[in-house]
Amino acid sequence: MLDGARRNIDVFLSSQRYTWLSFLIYRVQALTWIIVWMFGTAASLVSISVIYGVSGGIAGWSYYQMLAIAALANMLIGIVSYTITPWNLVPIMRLGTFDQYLTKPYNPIVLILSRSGSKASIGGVISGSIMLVYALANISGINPIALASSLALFVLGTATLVMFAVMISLLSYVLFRSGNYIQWLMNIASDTANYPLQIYGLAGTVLLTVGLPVGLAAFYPAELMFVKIDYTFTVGIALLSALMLFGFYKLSMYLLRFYTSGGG
Amino acid sequence: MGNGIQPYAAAFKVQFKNQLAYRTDIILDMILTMLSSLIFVFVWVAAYSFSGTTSLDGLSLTLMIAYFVMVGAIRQITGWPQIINNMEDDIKQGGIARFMIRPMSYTMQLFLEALPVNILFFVFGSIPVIVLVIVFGHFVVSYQLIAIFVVEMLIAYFMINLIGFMIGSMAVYLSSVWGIANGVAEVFSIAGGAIVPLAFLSQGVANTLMLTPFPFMYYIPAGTLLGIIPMSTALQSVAVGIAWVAVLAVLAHFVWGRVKRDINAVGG
Repeated sequence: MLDGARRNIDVFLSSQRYTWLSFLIYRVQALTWIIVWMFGTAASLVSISVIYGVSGGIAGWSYYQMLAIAALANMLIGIVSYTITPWNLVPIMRLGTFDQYLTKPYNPIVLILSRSGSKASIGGVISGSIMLVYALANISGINPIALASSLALFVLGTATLVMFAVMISLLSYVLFRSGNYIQWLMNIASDTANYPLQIYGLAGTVLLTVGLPVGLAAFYPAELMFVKIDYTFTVGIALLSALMLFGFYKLSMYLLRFYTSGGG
Repeated sequence: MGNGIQPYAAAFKVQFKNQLAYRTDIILDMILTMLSSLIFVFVWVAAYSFSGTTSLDGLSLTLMIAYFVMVGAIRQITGWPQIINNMEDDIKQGGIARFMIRPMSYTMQLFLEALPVNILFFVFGSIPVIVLVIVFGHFVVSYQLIAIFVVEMLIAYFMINLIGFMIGSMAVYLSSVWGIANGVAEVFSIAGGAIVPLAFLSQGVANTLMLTPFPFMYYIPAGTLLGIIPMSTALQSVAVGIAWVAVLAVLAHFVWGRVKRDINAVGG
């Protein structure tokens, strides 16, 4: 089993090297795309700054705490897009080139994650990280244990969202043979993650926690970071996240059975 | 002259029929475009609620909600110029050769290809939402205001398509123009008032932005119809907008003149 895991990690890392080299061949273009990804963080910064400039802001959240949520949301969508981009994956499947993946002795999900993402999205991770450091530098009295736990919750939530994106892309392939709308929906969901879930009401909170789980990786880790949730709730969210990660993985493997070779 | 227009009219008719075949796609496009603006409705409702006020910088909550719904309706037209995707496909896949040997202008064909989808989005996506906002928000809208709004929308339409045309032309030199197009769309969102109304920015920044093409995409049309922008400022903006359309048209002409010399079609 360990040997299998090592082989899958090796193929993932080799693919990263190859895709990065391909991406960086066009240096100016690569740099432009990375900068474009950073605009998303700039948009979050502008909107939050204006909201807090003209009003009292959002109940229970200071300006810098809001920046921290938006930073996590930007990092989150950057990481998800780095590993899986629905409008890249579905054409690979529709054109039949996915056959090549299935004949290799690796986990097909690992191959999907290593080949269908967008390298430029690293820009969102970089700008999000900078904004997070800036926000945290302006907040006094951060509990280091809460910070470390929230980053762990962020990693788990991000993994869950990545697997959700794989599952929903495969479902989109099975149902529509298209990934465009799923991509669009993911982008909108990531915009919603810039703000505390409570502003969307109870239905919105539930939807963005279990339906389109962006809240698991941005909102709840931010709540934990600023000790707005207790230990029991944190464990509950972590368990829910882990359970959903496992469920999405199993569902993705099941949906792969519906892949129809188109040649390639 | 009649014969000159005929092929373009026929091309337009074919495109219109093609677009009507994908009705579900169009409806989904419209819904998702609206959703991205509605997020800000939730955000501002929360901000007004926590501030315990009915007005921020002179803008009431009703006006703010109406503004972002209106932005969603306008985004159907100004959010993303379809012309970019069409040009990139034509240039990358060699289809441009097929268009260029026709006794019709390629640029006109491009605009006609994009026009049907824009008309459908405007008629079925923008207009009903705008009417609902005016009716349910109890906004008093004069015929004069509607006329200015229509002119502003036309200016925005020409602007975004001319900019899209120049970005699409870059496909000759780049492996993909997605990055530039997305970057420009993001800048238009931030500086055009899709994220925050420009009235909330400092006077200096807002006045400077009003002299650029950015606010034509969202803030000027929505602000005019909702009365956020005074009539006199709206009229001045129309003059600025017409000047920008002229400048962009001249620029697009020169860009295309230079770019078309470097086109290499390998199939199509």
